[in-house]
Amino acid sequence: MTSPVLQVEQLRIGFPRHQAVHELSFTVGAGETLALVGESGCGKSATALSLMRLLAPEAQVQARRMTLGDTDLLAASPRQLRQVRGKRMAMVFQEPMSSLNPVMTIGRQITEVLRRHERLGAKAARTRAEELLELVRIPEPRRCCDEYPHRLSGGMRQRVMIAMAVACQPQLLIADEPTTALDVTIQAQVLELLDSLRRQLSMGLLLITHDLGVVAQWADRVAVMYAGRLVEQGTAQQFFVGSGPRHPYTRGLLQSTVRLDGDQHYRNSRLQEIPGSIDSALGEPGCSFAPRCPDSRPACRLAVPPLLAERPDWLLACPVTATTGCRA
Amino acid sequence: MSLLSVENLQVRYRSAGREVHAVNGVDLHIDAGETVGLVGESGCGKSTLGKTILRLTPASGGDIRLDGTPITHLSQRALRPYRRRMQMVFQDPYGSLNPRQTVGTLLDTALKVHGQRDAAERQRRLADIVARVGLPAAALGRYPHEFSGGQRQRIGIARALVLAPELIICDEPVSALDVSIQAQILNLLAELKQGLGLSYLFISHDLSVVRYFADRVLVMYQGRIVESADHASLWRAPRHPYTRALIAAVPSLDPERRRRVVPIHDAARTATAGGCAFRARCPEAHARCETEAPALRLTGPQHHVACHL
Repeated sequence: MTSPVLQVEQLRIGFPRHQAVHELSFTVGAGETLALVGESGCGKSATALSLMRLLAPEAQVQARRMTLGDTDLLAASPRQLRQVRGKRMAMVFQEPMSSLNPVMTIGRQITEVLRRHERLGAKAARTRAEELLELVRIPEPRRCCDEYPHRLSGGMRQRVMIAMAVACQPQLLIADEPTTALDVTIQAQVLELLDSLRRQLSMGLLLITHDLGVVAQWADRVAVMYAGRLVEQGTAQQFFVGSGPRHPYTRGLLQSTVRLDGDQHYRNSRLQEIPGSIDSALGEPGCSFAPRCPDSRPACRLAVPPLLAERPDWLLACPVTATTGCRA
Repeated sequence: MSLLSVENLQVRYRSAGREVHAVNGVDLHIDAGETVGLVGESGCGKSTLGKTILRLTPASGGDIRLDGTPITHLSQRALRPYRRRMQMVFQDPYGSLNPRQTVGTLLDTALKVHGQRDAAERQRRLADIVARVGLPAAALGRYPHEFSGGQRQRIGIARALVLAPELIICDEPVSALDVSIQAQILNLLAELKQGLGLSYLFISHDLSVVRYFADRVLVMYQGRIVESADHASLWRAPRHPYTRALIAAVPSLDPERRRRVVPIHDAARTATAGGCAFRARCPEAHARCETEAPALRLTGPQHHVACHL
């Protein structure tokens, strides 16, 4: 296997009043989709922003390693970062309207990226911008170039965001809940588009989502976060087809997801729920899921369970449900 | 007789100098003890429909009846006893709770406004409601910001329930919540329904949730109901091309079940003068769809579809 595009080791993100991410390690390979899953407040968006070095200055970001290819993202100067962002690594946000400039035409926003990073002239940039809009399957790309963002639908705006993000053929694309604000028919199209671009450009794709259906359909590997920590990581195949996940949180998530292809109806069955909320872990020692966990034991409340290899491609931070001998 | 019946409801308003026909000739009824799901994409008019039924948005035409009484044109004062019987749960509980009032005050105000003068009786009612929605009694003395998203939705539900309504309109009640909390709130709504004999109009864009929670389902597209069916027959045999596209687009938890890429076009906001509103996005549109708007017709037991095909 070639070396990963993105390598993160022991990432810690601290805000003045709380620690958002604790010792998070993961990699994204070229042409691979890693889904980062977890509920709101688990630290997944903070992680994405820290990779782009877009967190506010009061955030303390530390890591033993945070590299894109051979560039050390933590040590990079603002000038070096400007050469990385938008060129080698780009991000698509949840809300396309608030991340597009409302007073600039679509064409100008895309050509700005191209002129700056690719040093294209005005004319060449404009031609390339139209090609990009065609690539993301916007009808009448020429006309779209002259439009302002408010004239486009949500799905079209998200396509424009994606066109901008892939303009310089980045090695890594970070998509933070790219379809949460979109309708379901448009969601499938946008994710299908991201997936085909990933293959065409062999980009690494870090897909942040809370929707397990999206993970099952579009991810190669899954990293599950809970309260700022990685609790389980494996392949989508293992999670959704094979024996299923092992961590009680991941299992709970999967069981409490309402399925469209299931037969459950409120008149004959109750949904499986995870009791309590993520707040229950605040300030407690030990496993942060323990207060909500059906399998927890007294020992779980004493120390944070280490993330251990259940199998070479499967990490698990739960000594209770681990099956292999390498327990702590 | 249905608890709620709505006939030929119209809602039009002007936005940026343009007339928007948000609800266009909707008929629906909800029987006592029934949950009716209303699905559709953003902007289809489903929230407007919900608010219009509660008279929070004025109707431009048509008829709304609660238990047979027409309420469409009642004055605010005359409406009050009917308001008590129909309540609403909103998507964003935080945005719909007054941040400066404790949960106790919030709930108490509703009781006072609706004429409950006996303070001791009100206290008893509050304690009962808070316990029913699964909050600790101490919650009454706290402010909305002190609660998590799921608990806030419980407060939103308590506020809807405190007047002992018969019908609750739930507008995307779990869409803002994490998956693990969604299940808690859906279970709570199901329990309350059973315990209190409630009826729900359950508005959501999430088909999986509606599949779980509705006895009957209405599919709305650009202000009209395009399909309506019993829950079993809708999910087993959807008829309208729009319903089929919606269902096909939901990503399955089974990666082996490969998604079919929906040949539906992006929301082309074409003028819909004459013809079927969905025709520009429809993979099966033909000549007749251009000229004639399809009416809702019966195609099976309890199954109505508005499509020429």
